[in-house]
Amino acid sequence: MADLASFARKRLDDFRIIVGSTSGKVGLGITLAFLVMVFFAPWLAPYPPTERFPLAYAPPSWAHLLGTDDIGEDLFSQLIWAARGSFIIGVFAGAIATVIGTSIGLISGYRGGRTGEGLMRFTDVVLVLPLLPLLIVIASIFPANVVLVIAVIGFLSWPSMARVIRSQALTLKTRPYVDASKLSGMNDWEIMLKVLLPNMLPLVVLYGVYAAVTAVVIEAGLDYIGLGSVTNLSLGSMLYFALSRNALLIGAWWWFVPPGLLIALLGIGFILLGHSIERVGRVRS
Amino acid sequence: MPRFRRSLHLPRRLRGSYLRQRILVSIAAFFVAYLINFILPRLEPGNIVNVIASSDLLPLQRQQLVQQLGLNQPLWNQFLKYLVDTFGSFPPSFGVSFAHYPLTVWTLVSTALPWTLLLVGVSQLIAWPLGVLLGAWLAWHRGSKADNAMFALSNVMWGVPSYWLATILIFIFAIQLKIFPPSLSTSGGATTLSAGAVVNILGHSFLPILTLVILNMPLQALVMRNNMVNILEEDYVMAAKARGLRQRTLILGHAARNALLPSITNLALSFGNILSGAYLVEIIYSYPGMGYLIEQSALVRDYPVLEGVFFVSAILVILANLLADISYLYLDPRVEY
Repeated sequence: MADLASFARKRLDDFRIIVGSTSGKVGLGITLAFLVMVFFAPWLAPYPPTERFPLAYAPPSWAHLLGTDDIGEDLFSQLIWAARGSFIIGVFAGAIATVIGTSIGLISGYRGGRTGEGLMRFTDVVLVLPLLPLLIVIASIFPANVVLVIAVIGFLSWPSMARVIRSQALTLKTRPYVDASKLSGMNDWEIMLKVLLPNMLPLVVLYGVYAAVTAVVIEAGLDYIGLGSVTNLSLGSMLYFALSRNALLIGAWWWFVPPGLLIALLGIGFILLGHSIERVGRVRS
Repeated sequence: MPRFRRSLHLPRRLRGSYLRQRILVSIAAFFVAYLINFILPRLEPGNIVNVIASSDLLPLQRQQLVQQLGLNQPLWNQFLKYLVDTFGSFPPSFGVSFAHYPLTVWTLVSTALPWTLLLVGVSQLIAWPLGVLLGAWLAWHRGSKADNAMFALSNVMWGVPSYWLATILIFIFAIQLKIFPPSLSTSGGATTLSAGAVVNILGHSFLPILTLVILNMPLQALVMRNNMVNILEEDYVMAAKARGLRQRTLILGHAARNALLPSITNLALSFGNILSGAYLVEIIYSYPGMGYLIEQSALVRDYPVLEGVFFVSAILVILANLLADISYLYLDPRVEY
């Protein structure tokens, strides 16, 4: 019980540090807003995203906050569903990259020796494979599939993270508490997972957040140039439809401006939150 | 006090092994890219035949095509043919394009590559000096409002998609204001090198370059600023400060000089991201570089060209990273490997 109470108090302190700064407040606010969209999209969207109204290219109004597209669909509702799609893609791809990058960085840094060297050279090789051209090649060979795209982005965007985590592990393993844990009979895996990992968690979050943002931007780009899966509604496929159905020439800015703004907003929200979590780590240590 | 940390404390004997290791890694990466190129299309072999053989081909013609492409042969023979195709001649042809038959992939790629290099080169030549100047200024005024604002802005730029910014600029400058042409690198077949052709090319390249400058400049500024702030905290700068050197001398004489070269290295390291951004921008502006070529080839499933562009892109990124690694050797004595 005492353990739980002290744990809760610590987390509350962390939360206070995050909310204590402007960037932390903004980052947390934006991220929470996106989470609300992810979980409550059906209730937040005023209309089903494919319901057609007899209004083509209607500019924003109270009935349609972001106007309508060429076949009279409500764009505000579409935007909410698209943001949900992009958020989920970013989180999954970012999570894959984070798990791989952290594991390889930790093992390579803590174990060192031949294992560490080998893992780092493997990291160097993956680091220089150009992601976007590879994604385009894959998209034109295999049928459009969002899971495949998430997997490819996740499996290729971990190397820079692995390098950072490795150098952090190299620093942390010389600390006295690591020796103490060794003497208390912990094996290597326990030390890595229970001693080193919790200490570098803020850094893991920071780099994971950058990976997620990159994933959102790249995946939406693939959708935008028409090589993504059209059945999956993302901010990129919304842009794709806007461009291919002449929103630019008609001047329907309410169609192609909001999706890009939302990508940028998701990015800044994630990154600000990541930086304030990383600051918590620095304050604690 | 080192004015310029150009050489390193790495023993000469270790420098050679470091270089050797970096070159080996580059060669390994080159072969991984090569293997990916070979294996990926063959995971879905049915597709290749379906794509090139249109339905009105007679079965016999279809068979001839399959034979001509060597797709009926065992995988091992196909790989040998692939090796010969790539390395049998110089420059390597990378095979023949499906969509632009009988042009070779190399012809297409070598036509597109200069455009991409022009776009990336000019935009970095503008973005990098501006970013460095801004970064130095921010390091001078670190902790100020402008410094914080720039930190926020460069993080916003991380999330702003290049393709979306390109779209917005097309909408404002090409469609609404009609100042710049919306697409293509030249108009009216301006191929001869004359003053008119140069103006024509610049006019068409202006928006793509502007897009890349807007996106890259704040990131360069942030890198330069962080490098300089780190250097300003180092012992020898502290010592110089204690000797009573002026802030101006400290910033320009010590910090800026030492932060400049790592910032070039960083440019080379982020070359992969810069290239991806440029490809997407090319696609939106229909600018005839590598990005546009790979997108057009993807739409008609022109596999040989797709592979060629991927392979050449990989080589570019590998070389840029190798250069960055080698430059580390002469810049940072604490290089870790």
